[in-house]
Amino acid sequence: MSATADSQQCVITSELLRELAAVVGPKRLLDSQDELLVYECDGYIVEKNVPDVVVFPVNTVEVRAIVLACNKHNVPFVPRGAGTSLAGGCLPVHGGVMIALTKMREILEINLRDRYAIVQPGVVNLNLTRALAGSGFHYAPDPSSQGACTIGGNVATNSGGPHTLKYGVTVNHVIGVEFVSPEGEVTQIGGPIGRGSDFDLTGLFVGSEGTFGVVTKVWVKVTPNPAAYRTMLAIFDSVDDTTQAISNIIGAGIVPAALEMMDKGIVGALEDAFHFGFPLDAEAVLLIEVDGLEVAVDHEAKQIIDLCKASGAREVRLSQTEAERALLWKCRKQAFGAIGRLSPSYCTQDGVVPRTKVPEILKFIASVSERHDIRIVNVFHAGDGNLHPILLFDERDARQVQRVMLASDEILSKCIELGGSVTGEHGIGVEKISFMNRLFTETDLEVMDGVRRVFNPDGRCSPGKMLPTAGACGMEHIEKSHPGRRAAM
Amino acid sequence: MNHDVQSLSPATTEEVSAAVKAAITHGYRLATNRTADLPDNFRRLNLGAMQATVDYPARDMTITVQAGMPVGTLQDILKQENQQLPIDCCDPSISVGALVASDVAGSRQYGYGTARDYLIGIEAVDGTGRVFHAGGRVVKNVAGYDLCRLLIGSRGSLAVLTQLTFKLKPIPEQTEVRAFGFRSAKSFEAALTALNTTKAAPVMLDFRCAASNSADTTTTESGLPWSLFIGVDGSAESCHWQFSQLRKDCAEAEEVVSAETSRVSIEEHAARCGSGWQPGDVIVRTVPSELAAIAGELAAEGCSSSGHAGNGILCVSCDKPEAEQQSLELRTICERVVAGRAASVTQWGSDHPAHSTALHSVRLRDTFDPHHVFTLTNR
Repeated sequence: MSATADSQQCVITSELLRELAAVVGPKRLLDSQDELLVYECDGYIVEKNVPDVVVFPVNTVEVRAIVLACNKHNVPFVPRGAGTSLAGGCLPVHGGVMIALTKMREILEINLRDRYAIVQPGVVNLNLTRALAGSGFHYAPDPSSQGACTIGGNVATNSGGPHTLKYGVTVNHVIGVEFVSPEGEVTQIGGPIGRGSDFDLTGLFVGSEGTFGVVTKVWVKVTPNPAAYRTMLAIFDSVDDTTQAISNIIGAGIVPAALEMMDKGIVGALEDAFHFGFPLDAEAVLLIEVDGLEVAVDHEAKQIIDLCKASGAREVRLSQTEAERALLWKCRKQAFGAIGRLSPSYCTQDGVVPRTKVPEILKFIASVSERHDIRIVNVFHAGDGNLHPILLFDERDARQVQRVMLASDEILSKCIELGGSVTGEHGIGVEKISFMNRLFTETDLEVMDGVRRVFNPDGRCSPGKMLPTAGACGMEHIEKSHPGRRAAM
Repeated sequence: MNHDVQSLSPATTEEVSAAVKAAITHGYRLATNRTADLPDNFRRLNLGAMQATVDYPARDMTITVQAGMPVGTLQDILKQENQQLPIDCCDPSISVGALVASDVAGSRQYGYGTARDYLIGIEAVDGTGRVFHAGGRVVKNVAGYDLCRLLIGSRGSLAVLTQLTFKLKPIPEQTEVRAFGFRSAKSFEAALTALNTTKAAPVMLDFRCAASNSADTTTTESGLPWSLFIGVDGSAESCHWQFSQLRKDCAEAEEVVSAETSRVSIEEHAARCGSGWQPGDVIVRTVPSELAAIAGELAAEGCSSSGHAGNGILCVSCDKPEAEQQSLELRTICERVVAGRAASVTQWGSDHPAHSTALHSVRLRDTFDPHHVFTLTNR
């Protein structure tokens, strides 16, 4: 494995601070401890570390100047969008300079005829779709955090969302990227006409978790709005029946636009928050959407309703108005926000299993919950087999914290055992580095490390992310790789 | 150049690895290309013995196969479960590995995308003989760098693909293609603009444009200089409704003349279209809004073209006999026409990642193939 900046001691000199201030000005530079605390973690709150300085560039030229200054002073740097990563993707592992891209939020071009848009990395995901409102087009990747997360961050983590079941994840919608390489070169890969005759470097770059450079511009596809939707809420009295319905829908060769499952715990929290009218006595519900031609959606909806009923659904409600559909989706996308009604702290996992293994993994999660005496609720992308078990606990109880870590480890290990992965859309970040040795062979990781060196030869950009740099494996990470975990919680 | 270079036929991934290591030891190079002439210091790596289905959990809608499996065989296997890999390939004997390494993308890329949208896992052997994996067998997975997409279209210049996992789509109830004729680039572009926002959901927008000096416009099927082939799929009712809508979209455009000449499946259409893409042909990639203008100017230069209008892809062949013999001249014409536009001009044999001089591409080749086992040119 490479010698990255992980092992380097970060030293911020006054000279570097002066150089950074000369680039962005004093109002777009933070270096006081109080202000830096805001940036000590992202959505993954388990590990924290404050950066030494945060800068807010507004254009590519400034980003390049910042990167060159960091290189000159041998200081690591990490790009950051809205900080919604759930895996520590923008954690400044050894401090250094955080390059916050939230002020680069211009939509530079929308070209409907050629179906693309050019955006700066700090554009909030939902703002692009809002800018497209009325045009007949939208930006398809719709992570639940789309009201806050940025497209640059989506590129870094290859974000998904409920509708990726039909429309694909971020990489399926990004056709080009401009970035400042860790060596300080402004580089464009892809663009409106795709990769041309070169390697698909855009495809490689998406999901590289900030380790290949700092994104400064993104070319994204815009997608025609479907002519019609049918949105259903299927209500079940047992989790087994629910998972059977999922399996039957996918097994029948039907690919809905979205197929989301929420269990009783989540439904209760959402009903408290939004008063939608969810049945509080149901064990689980499925939120299912088909879209496409007006002439076709009724037939698809009927097929799904029949399959749900044949699987034991006690009721399938069809959304009658656009307002009702919008509220249903609001509930789903704000499910994580409602968790606060259930517990003071929570930990969300992001495992993936083959779609037909969903019933098996849900039973396993229930057994883990019982065995470790940790309440676990589920809201996830059932159609993709992408699980989001949410482990509820009280961070003030150190024993609960330890049980949560063990339970998480067991769930993700089971996902691997069932032929799946430990992340479907959140990324590896720092959270899941120790799983990489279990997902991939030593050779696989050597090859990936070689690819990282191609883009990031000195390891100064986003050190300590994605690839393990030491030989930790098995359960060691719980005790050793995250010594600050307990204190941080 | 030699047609008769020694051919190696590994039966396992380990044998592919051994072949690479032997090539390093003995100083020869390896190519998986089955048709091209090769220099004398090459051995041809034939994966024809690696055709097994590794795993086909049909209800998960994924399949893992060895890279030497012919595309036609793969589609036949999938058909038994009413599933498909919706990538059109005119030659069913081409291997799945070659399909991915060449990034073959046919008529339905407008509606279904390309290999980039379906490949979810790989096993491969790099230029040092290392066997590596990326991705996996689940449809959603962001663990590790996306080496799947790096190898799509890499033309074997980084590694030999030995195993691939795809996500799949159900086969629609039916597919249908209709041809529409246009008298001018202007009316053709007007129709394309209208189709960009159609309420229908075409999965294919292919075109042909005859050279202006060609007396035989029947080569465009519609009998007019421009032909547009629109493909849809779904239920019979859905296809019928869509063509009703599509006729309106085309009729609303200026000077559009509807001239249906055929009614074939997309598969039949795609098989016919592939035959025109010869090694000497020139490929122009542009934004869709520029396609009609470029094709029109090329027609005025005596060059007919065809391709995927919805994706901005033109394949150009020339009616001038001397140009057919000299693809360089054809390329020059194309480069002159596209100058100043958002477009690129490439030729199959000479323009691909193995020849890229971009910094990161060169470094990637040096990383994956430090001994130049897979390179066709001296580095």
